[in-house]
Amino acid sequence: MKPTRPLSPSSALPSLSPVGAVSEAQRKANLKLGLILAGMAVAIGVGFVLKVIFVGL
Amino acid sequence: MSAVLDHPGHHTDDHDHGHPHGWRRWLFATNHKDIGTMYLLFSFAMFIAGGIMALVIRAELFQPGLQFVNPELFNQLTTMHGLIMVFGAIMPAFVGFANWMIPLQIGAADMAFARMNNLSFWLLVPAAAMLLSSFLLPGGAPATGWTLYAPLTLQMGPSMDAGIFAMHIMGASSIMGSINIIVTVLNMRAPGMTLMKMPLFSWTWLITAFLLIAVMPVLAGAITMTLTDRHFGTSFFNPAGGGDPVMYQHIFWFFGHPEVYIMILPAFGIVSAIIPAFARKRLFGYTSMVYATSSIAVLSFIVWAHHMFTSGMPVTGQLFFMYATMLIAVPTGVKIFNWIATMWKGSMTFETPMLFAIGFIFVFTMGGFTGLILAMAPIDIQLHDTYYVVAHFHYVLVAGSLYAMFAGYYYWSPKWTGVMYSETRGKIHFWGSLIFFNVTFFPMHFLGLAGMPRRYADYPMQFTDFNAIASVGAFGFGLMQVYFFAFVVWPAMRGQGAPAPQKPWEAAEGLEWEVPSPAPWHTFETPPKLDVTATRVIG
Repeated sequence: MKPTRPLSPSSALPSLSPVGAVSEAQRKANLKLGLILAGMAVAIGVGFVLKVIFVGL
Repeated sequence: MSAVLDHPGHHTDDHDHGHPHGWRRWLFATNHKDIGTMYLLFSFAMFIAGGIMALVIRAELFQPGLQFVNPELFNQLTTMHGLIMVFGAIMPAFVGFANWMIPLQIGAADMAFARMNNLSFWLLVPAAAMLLSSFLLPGGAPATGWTLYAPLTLQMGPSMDAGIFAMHIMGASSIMGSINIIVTVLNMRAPGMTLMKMPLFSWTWLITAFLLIAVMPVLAGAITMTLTDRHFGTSFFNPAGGGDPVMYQHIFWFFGHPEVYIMILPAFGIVSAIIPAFARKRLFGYTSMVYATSSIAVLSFIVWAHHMFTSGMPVTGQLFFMYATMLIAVPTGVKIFNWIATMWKGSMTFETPMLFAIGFIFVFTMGGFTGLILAMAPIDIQLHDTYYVVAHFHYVLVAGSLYAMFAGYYYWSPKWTGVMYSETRGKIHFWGSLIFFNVTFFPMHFLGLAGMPRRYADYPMQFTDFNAIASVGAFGFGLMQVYFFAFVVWPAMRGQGAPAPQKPWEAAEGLEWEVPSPAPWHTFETPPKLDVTATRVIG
């Protein structure tokens, strides 16, 4: 099938280790949890600075 | 038999699919084993760099007076030694262990975010280069102590900015690594590998990763505020503008004390894997180990100000932080008790991993006891910023974290390299390290009790003898680590040694021993079917 868009740079990278070992559902679940954790980290960092600025220690 | 061996033809076409070779294999690495290897080698290089700084410090302190370095450079060396060892050596080394072992222990094919894993590692290299090259900037490297206290940070030259930027990058790397570990452990365990059947190394790293996510952003915030104080006219910590340097200390130690546990909890996990294997008994009190680790992690958030008893705080504050700190001895004692109970009436043998694990228990416990002594506010006020503190945290971080890493290396290296190390060389490394470590750091207790302050390039004559002994020990300890690399690690990397069997330790348990040695490029491509204990692959 003819690609409808150019290959993205990530497609040019070497394949992830075990091809087919991670299902699409698994990948999405990983991404969801990863984003939640990243959000936690950002919230803690930014929240801490804002608290110091506006409330004090 | 392993999942890999059971299905030799399974996904055969995929094994070399896009598998890069040469330098591309390492630069574009997404395989957890390759990235683990890079972390371990990087951390060893940093360990040597930090170690050389320590040896210059000890050479200067061999006798009173100024011999080799001036006081300014001495302060730079103590600062950089601390930063490099904490952020460049110990933390990345444990991440290396995590990369290698967690997917193997939980039956996962790889880490959850393989490309982010690559980024996490490769961020460390420019960060470390920036940190080390700060010696070359005008005014030299940061000389604030590894705690980067204000207002010293506000008075430093441009190297402080390089240091702050390097810390930011290393922090980002740590946070990404932590997210990767948490997602891998929570989402990618093999069916049947319930949390309460998971090996303790994976458990301790799961808890450590949560600690990292909670405290690294706080450090990032604190050093960003330092940066804005330096360049953008704010006065968070600048007393001249109404800021509060003591506030920086509170913020730093809110990060800094959990950081101590970040550097020791994975060590507990390694020791918990090794002692049952060489005592030939199941680990005593697995569940209590998990809860003790969690308790230590929670308590680590409410003890930070025991580092600040001399900074000034109400007596009620001193009492709170004193008692909260002492409380940590309870879950830590549970762990020590469980390790000893595991060995009790076990059929013990003393191969090098077990020697380092037992050495860890002895010497780490000594560091724990001096920690209890320092937790007492009235005593701490006397001993604060003396060599007693230096002795204490080296007993915890060298005899604790580093010994556990050596134990872990000897235990798992047959799986990594496919060859057995020389037991004689391992034992020489252990006994040499143990003896020289104690020669170096035990006299520092006496120096501290006698009142010798830390972070000074010179000292009065009365401290000469113990300093000379400590310096001799330090060079001996450094020599043993060169020996370790030259005669243990390097031959293993070159494949020299007896071929390692799939399970070199007869009583070792866990999925990592269900794959061949060396571990194949891909493992557990299809989720393995586990037995009821989740320690064996049955299909």
